[in-house]
Amino acid sequence: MKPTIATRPALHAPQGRYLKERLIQGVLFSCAFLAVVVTAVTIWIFISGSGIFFAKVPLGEFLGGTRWAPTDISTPSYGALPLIVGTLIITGIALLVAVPIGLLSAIYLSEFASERVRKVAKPILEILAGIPTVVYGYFALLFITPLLRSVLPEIQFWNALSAGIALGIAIIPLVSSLSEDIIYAVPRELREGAYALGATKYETIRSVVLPAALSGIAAATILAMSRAIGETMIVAIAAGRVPTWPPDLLKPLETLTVHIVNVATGDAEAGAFIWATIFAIGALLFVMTLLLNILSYWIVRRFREQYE
Amino acid sequence: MSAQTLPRDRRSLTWRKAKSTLFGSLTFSTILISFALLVALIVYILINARPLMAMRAASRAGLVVSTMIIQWDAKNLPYVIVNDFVPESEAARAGIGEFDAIIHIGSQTVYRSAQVWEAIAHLPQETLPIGWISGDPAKIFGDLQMDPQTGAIRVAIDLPEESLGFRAGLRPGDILVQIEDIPVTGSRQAWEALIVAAQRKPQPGPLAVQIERDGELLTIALDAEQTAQIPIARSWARAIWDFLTSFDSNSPERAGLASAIVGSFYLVGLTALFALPIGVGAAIYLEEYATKNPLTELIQLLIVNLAGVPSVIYGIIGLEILARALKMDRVLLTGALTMTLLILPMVIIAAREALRTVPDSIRQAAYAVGATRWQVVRSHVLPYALPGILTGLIIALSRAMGEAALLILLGAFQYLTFIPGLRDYFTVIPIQIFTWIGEAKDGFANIAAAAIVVLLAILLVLNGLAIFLRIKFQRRW
Repeated sequence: MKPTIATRPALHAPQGRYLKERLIQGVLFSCAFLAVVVTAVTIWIFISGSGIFFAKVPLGEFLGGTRWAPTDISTPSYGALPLIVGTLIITGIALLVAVPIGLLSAIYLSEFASERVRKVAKPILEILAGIPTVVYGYFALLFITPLLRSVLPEIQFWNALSAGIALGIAIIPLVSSLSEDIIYAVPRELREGAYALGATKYETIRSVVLPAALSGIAAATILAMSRAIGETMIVAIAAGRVPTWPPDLLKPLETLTVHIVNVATGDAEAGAFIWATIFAIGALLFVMTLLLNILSYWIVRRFREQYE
Repeated sequence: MSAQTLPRDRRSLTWRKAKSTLFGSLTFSTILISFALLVALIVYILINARPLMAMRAASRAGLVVSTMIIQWDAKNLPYVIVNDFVPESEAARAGIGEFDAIIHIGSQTVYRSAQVWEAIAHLPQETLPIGWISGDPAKIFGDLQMDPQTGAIRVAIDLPEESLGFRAGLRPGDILVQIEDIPVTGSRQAWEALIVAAQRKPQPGPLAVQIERDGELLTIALDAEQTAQIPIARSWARAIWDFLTSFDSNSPERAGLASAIVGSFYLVGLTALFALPIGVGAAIYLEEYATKNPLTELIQLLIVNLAGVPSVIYGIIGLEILARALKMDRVLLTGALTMTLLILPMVIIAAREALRTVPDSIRQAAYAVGATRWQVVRSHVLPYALPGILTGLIIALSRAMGEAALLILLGAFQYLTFIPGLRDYFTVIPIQIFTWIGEAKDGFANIAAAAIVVLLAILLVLNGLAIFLRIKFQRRW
């Protein structure tokens, strides 16, 4: 709601004041325009950086090759499949942890909890999201892995499973708070209609509320997925930083983000070809997360329109 | 939705109602799982941070220890050595120096440095009864020489009279046969045999050393292990202060967070300085100035998308543009600028929310008395929106406080023993934690946990501040 009556008071002001107004507007506009600049620069960097990489490595080998050994001096190999599959495995485990817990928590908060419980429980759940990811990495490496070892004795010190579980815990609040908003937004009339037909609370939730909120829950899951794909520190600490093929849940693996960390913490000089790999990997990561973000944004917008 | 039909359940109403209750309990239990995880995480971190006090007390007393391994019969036998000499310390006064092996504390044998800290933590009195063997074999046996023909280990002619061996009855020319039941096979090995034999004793005491003198086998009682009572000053306050004010080190009991804390606050402060004006400027433009046109739409869409870009991607941008293309190098200032890019979308979104809560009647009233648009914004809209904006900023800054991935790309992965400045390489708390987690040595996991406690405490204060601002200045229109 913009003011409609007095939109251009500056016209009647003295010339200097008018100029000052225009100047300020220009400065403010350039702050907002920074978003365009940053995006453009990002895209340009990734295109030009990947250009160097793909001049040497064919795209087919990059996306289809199963041996990732960029530091091998005699026979370097740039098949990124172990990294891509590694990322998807970690993301999959994280979603298996976060979606059921997050979704059921959201159902509890929106459908069962009293207003007072809701007011206390929601912020506590949010604390999980505020804990830095290095802390989850520590927890995965030194708490979850030893715990898993009591069940799976062959699990290695660094492994995909514990990193995935810790990542899942970290994104529970993301799933729960987004889906809770959406479940909460399902119109009351739908629930009351179901009750009027004699449905119990469980039947109402299962057959009316959840289907109505499905698109929103999907959006939340996609957003959680994008977060999981881009997560770096938990995986870098707990999953071992070694690309393995074929991937194994109980063994170390490497993800796209962790490769970038490996290059950055390694001792390669600036200008070495290995730095070009982070642009190709980064571009892949950027495209994956961007597509998922846009998809989820689009789903949420469509969902909002549905009931407004 | 109209096409939806309810599934028909022919079972009794009681069963169907029970199912609802059951489902309710299931959903409730998932909340409990999350809480249990949160509690487990915090308790686990606190438990792991506990040895900090003992570690710091040990280091102040001069006992900077480390676990070493003797390889023996294809077995790895651990033992503890003092790996740093601290002059003027209690340990130095007792005569304990570098490389001396600590065998007993009281009547307990110690094999790993963690046991030393555990013993200090549970000390009933304020002194540590310690039994050690000198790390210099010459102080015990003088020089040992191997007979090239027989392989026998012989005590050299110049055995000093003040050596422990001489006092126990060892004389130049004696051949060491075995220590307790361990055959002596080498001059270094003789010392290791002493350590292993002493570790088997429940208390510090003389070891039976079999020697051959003029073809005869003799047994002498060698008091190789010396004992002392070392005063230990145990204090959590001192331990925490030491931890916060010392620099990184190769010994966990001496390593501290000083550079990382300064780096973190420097970085977050600079980030706030950059992000606040730019973020608020952009939000004001979008909320108060922008007309609905494709460019505005694009900017809004990009801001939402930039908020979801992984932080490593920002790290690459900062590295390539600021550090390399603009030749700013991987220093604190570059880190802060890149961090600004990361949190800007968050700040803009929060500032827009805050601006939107200011009712239009305020703006209209200001326009009515002849204020220009900027005057309206500056004097009427901003003051009301400020608490909301600051709350959003603080939450974004706490994200920056815990961020590590982006800064790893920008050179924060450093071993620092100085306070970083604007144009220096730097380190921050999360990265210090990451580095310490990667150290294999005993004790680094404990100080990583202690650093996590520090980080969480800072975040708690930041978020508390945000909540305080929100409650104090919250206004309902």
